[in-house]
Amino acid sequence: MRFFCNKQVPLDPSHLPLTLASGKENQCALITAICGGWGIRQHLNQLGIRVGAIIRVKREGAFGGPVLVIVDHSEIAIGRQMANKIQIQVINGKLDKEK
Amino acid sequence: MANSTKKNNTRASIHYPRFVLVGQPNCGKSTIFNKVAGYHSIATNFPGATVEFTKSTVQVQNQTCELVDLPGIYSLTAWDGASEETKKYLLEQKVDVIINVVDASLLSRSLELTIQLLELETPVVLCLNMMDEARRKGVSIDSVKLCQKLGIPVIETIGVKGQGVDELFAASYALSRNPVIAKCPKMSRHVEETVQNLAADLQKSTDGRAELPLRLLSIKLLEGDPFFAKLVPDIVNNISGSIEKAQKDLSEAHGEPSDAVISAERHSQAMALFEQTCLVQHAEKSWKDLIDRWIMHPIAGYLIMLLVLYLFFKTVFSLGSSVEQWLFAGFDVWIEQLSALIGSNSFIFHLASGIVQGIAGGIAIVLPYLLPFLFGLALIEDIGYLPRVAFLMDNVMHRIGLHGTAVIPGILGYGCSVPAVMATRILTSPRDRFISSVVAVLTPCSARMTVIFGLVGYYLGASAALGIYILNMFVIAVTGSILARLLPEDTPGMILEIPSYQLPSLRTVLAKTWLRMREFIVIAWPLLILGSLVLSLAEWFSLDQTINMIFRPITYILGLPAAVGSTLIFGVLRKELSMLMLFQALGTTDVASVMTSGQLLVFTLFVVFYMPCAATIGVLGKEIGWKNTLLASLLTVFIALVIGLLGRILSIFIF
Ligand SMILES: Nc1nc2c(ncn2[C@@H]2O[C@H](COP(=O)(O)OP(=O)(O)O)[C@@H](O)[C@H]2O)c(=O)[nH]1
Repeated sequence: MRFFCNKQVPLDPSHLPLTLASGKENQCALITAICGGWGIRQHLNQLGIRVGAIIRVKREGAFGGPVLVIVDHSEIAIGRQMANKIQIQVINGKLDKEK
Repeated sequence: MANSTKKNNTRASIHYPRFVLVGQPNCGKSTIFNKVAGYHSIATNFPGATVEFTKSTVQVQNQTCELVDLPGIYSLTAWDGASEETKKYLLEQKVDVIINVVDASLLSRSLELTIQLLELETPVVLCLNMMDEARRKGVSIDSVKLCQKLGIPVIETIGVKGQGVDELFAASYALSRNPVIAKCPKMSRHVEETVQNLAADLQKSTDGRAELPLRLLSIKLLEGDPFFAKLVPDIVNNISGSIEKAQKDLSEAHGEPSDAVISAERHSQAMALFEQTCLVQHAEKSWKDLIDRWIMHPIAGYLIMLLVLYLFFKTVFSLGSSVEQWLFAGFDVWIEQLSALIGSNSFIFHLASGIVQGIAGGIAIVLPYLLPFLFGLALIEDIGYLPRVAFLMDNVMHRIGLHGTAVIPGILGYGCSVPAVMATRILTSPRDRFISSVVAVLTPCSARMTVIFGLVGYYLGASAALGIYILNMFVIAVTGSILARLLPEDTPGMILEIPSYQLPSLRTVLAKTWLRMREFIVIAWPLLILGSLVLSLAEWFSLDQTINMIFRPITYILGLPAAVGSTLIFGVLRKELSMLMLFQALGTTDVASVMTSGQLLVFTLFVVFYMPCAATIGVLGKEIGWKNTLLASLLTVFIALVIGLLGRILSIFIF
């Protein structure tokens, strides 16, 4: 798998933070960074996908498909390319459901 | 177009109070609109359903008011063509009251939009819709407290049941009589100061003559929104120094780009409001989650999708063909009796049979397929299945250089190309919109479906009809991927909200079916009868020969009878016409007696692919520009010729 940031520099995967694309079903995660231009960041923000937001992966993208996440009670499908640019930190322990 | 009922320009003499419905996609705006305005606008359960605004006059407490339904927006920062439309409307038109419809079950997110709407300095009413849904999700809202906190009327509604809708409009009307502009909630200290300082600078540089609310402008400039910067280029030039300084201040103090600071600020404002006024308890476990386990399952999901499509077309076809057979027999008897009565060579008979054929074509061929098809499509749309299909198809669509969201216009294209082309506005990049417009145009719409079912299905069997659909998908995939290669671009891909399922209400589904049927009955059918008449006249005066001569190169290449040529012109007006005119041109409803199976197949293939119909050309021109429209049209003719030719070669081996 190749990782790109908005600078388009391929990075060494072993030192990389996790991205949403690797999120597993039912995992809860904190969004730590979103790489992408102004427009995309704004749009994701509007949907609740923002740095500091806690999301739950409802369905991981199979066969290169999109990831389905739950944030603030709503479900958002995010294409794999974009999911690769959203860095997450997995939260262990059971979270109070979507709160 | 079905979903825009443009009343005369009401600004002419009397000014009615103007209410606009603004809200995030799928919050139920169209449902509320339809409740008061009758079924003008098409309510659907997928984002991007309303891509243009719909207007109507409504009676509120015996007063005439104007109600406008705007496309859904997530915020005042536009992301796609549809939300751009809404933003422009809000900034440029005179609006008396903004009715901010929110999905109460998604209140915290929705409040971010509400806060931005307050910045427009227009009276706002907050409509908490989907209260039933909120209750189910365990969200209880103290609307009195919310009303006090925001300083605007807050009305709870359940749109589908019409509950609270009267109160909503009563409150809006009262507010329009007695306009109160609520104060915007304050941001945290440093950010608020920065915003206010910039607003003061703006005030100075415009001498207080700014056309936009200063606070809004100040925030948007801090966010670096290019749309607003373009709106007031002089001002931005004048004080570009202070804007940059303020942006730098924010990002240095908060360690994030200024737009992220503002949006985090807005988020925490909304969250604070939400936490003060709402209580979230455990949600009821719902059948909806259970269904999604299967419908969006990585393997079962696709099987279910195929099954749904198969059952859908199977039902439409078997319903349609049984009715067609039965009706057709009746009309044939009619025409025979007519010819016995008047004599088949007289001018009168030509006229009469032209009209009868036109009527027969509409009743016997188009309606039997169209009605169940449109009903089924409306049902699938209303349940909320389309965004799920978009989710499932995302990786497949990537193969042809698009992404999942582009599936929605594609599926709508099976109904009618016009709304499908309009729906491409939910895509962000012009390139994606061009490719998916071409895809939408190549998708066989319900008019072409009647040709496929009525000719190939009827004479060659259902599996041949299905074959055409599969071939079509293949052609679309190839065309799409070629175009994608020719126009490489790095697009962000799919970012799509998947709304929760809704139990379809029979009324909405029927209303929607009728709205789309009306299109056929009012516009296409008269055209069809007229066309039929014109063709029989042309035959009488032997004009059809000339037309057929012009089309001879095409019919020759495809190995079709010369008489077919004139029908192709009619096909551009309406796709069904080409088939109905075929009956007229060949002088029989039993086409198989005149054309071979191979010819039938080739004719159908050509009609399915060549040239978008007149109405589609119209919207295409508006959506992707006339040059691209011409390009797309020529492309379809080319594809049609290639496919037709292949069909001809193939049919030599089969038949
Ligand atoms: N449960 C529930 N569903 C609703 C309510 N209002 C609208 N809907 C449904 O929500 C879906 C989206 O509504 P629509 O009017 O198309 O939303 P729009 O995109 O904002 O115009 C439709 O399937 C409606 O039937 C409501 O109060 N409760």
